[in-house]
Amino acid sequence: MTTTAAPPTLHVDGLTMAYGASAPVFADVELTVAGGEIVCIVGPSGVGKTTLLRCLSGLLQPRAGEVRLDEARVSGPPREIGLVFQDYSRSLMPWMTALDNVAFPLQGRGVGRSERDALADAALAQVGLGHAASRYPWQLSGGMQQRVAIARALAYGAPILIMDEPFASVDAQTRLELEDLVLELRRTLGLSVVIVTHDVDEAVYLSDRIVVLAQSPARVVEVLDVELGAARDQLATRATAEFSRVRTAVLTHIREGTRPAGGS
Amino acid sequence: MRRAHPVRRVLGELWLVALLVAVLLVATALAPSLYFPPLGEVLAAIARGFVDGPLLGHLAYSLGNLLAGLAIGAVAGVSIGLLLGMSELAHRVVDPALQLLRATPKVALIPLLVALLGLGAEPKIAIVALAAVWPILLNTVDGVRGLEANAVDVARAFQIPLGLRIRRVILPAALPQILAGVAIALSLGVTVLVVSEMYAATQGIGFSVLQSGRSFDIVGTWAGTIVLGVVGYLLNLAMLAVERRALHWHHGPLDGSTEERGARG
Ligand SMILES: Nc1ncnc2c1ncn2[C@@H]1O[C@H](COP(=O)(O)OP(=O)(O)OP(=O)(O)O)[C@@H](O)[C@H]1O
Ligand SMILES: [Mg+2]
Repeated sequence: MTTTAAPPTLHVDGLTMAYGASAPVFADVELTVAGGEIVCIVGPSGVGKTTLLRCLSGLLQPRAGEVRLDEARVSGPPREIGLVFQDYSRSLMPWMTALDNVAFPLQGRGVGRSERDALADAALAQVGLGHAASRYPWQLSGGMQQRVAIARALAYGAPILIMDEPFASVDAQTRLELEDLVLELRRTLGLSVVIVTHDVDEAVYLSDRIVVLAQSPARVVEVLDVELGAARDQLATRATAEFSRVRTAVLTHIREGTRPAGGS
Repeated sequence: MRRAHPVRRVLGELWLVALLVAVLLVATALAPSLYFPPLGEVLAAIARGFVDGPLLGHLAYSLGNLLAGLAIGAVAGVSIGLLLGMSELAHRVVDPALQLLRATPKVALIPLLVALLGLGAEPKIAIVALAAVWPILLNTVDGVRGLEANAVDVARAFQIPLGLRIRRVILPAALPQILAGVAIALSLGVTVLVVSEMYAATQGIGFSVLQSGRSFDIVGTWAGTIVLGVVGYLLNLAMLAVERRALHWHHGPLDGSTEERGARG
């Protein structure tokens, strides 16, 4: 990994977004992700999670409000953010091998061939795809393609990772491993991570904080701190009282949030 | 599956040609006529023309002009196509003019080009380039405009600089269309080249066919015509091989497993 600097704090202030002339997708979203934090965003399908991530990563310009990295306003994709797209399979270039897909952003940064191939190889190994480097996307299963997309964001070496349902189509075993990889990257490299997930257990297991989006236009209906400490274990952590407390709270808020006629 | 496959395919396609050749050999030998000389004689004339006659020289001259014209047309077509495909504004401004120019039959330009450039290779190269540029240009525009939003997002999110974006995202994405355009350009190019060689030339396969026809050398006329047909066929095969090689990544089920999870709205 080429990460050196500590991640800047990601500030989201009064963020409102609408596509064209249609009603806002979300309004007045507030969020802060300090360096080294893992924050999960949960909410029903279609609520606007992907749209929010696209604003955070500078791919979409919000209608109102702003996204800042420390003090710098985000107006386009910043160098500090590595992105894993929800539509992972179409986000890989079909004419590039897995290795070239992962190395491509490094090539864009002017990293030399041998160095970027080494970094890409290492990132592929981290997601358990060391053996598949020379395959094309169509020769990989959905879950493998997804891991290539994750490896690409890892190899990019950005201090903030933003991932849109990154583990949605990998098998249970790989999923646990990738969750632990995220925790390990935070521990060893101090990365900040923002993850959208549909899996409430996964959100609780990974997060320092869980942000629940609901209603239409969507807003942050709840922010839950997860007091599970930094070191977590797939079996022990999931068996704790704190885990089930947060889990219940998240589920409750999702259910209440999706009921018609909430707040303003 | 890899090496043997195209060869087997060619053999599979050629049996009918072989049969036809055999029938013609026999038929023209049994019943020779002024305009249909024995095929054996024609083939012998081709062999002679290649060994010590002018046929090889004519062919080399024609192929040289064809490839030069195609190369110019391809470079121009791809560059302009890239520009128009990437800029909505440029496309909107230029498109009507493009459609008009494309619809103009290129052979109509031959007299003008000959008047301008003389009898040498230049007008031949120019007419091939002029004919080739359109299908390549228009296909490039289509290919570039059809670029998936996801690929654009990736390039933006990872801040891929423009040059690299063109070289490794936009061009590869458009390559299937571009090569399809080149294939069309190839057959158009052969046609306008032969016409231009028949109109005003001192060398070339088209010239040799016309000249032997004028001097009632029917065997020579047939020889040139057959060489033209075979060359056209071989060029097409070469084109297919290039496509196969350049688009090897394209052969997998690209559209598989991309279903969006979760309903929207
Ligand atoms: N490019 C777009 N143009 C117009 N509307 C869009 C666009 N993308 C998304 N939307 C709309 O915005 C809303 C939020 O979509 P978004 O993809 O952000 O939801 P999501 O929470 O990520 O859903 P999922 O969990 O299914 O991925 C939806 O109503 C969707 O129809
Ligand atoms: Mg989404």
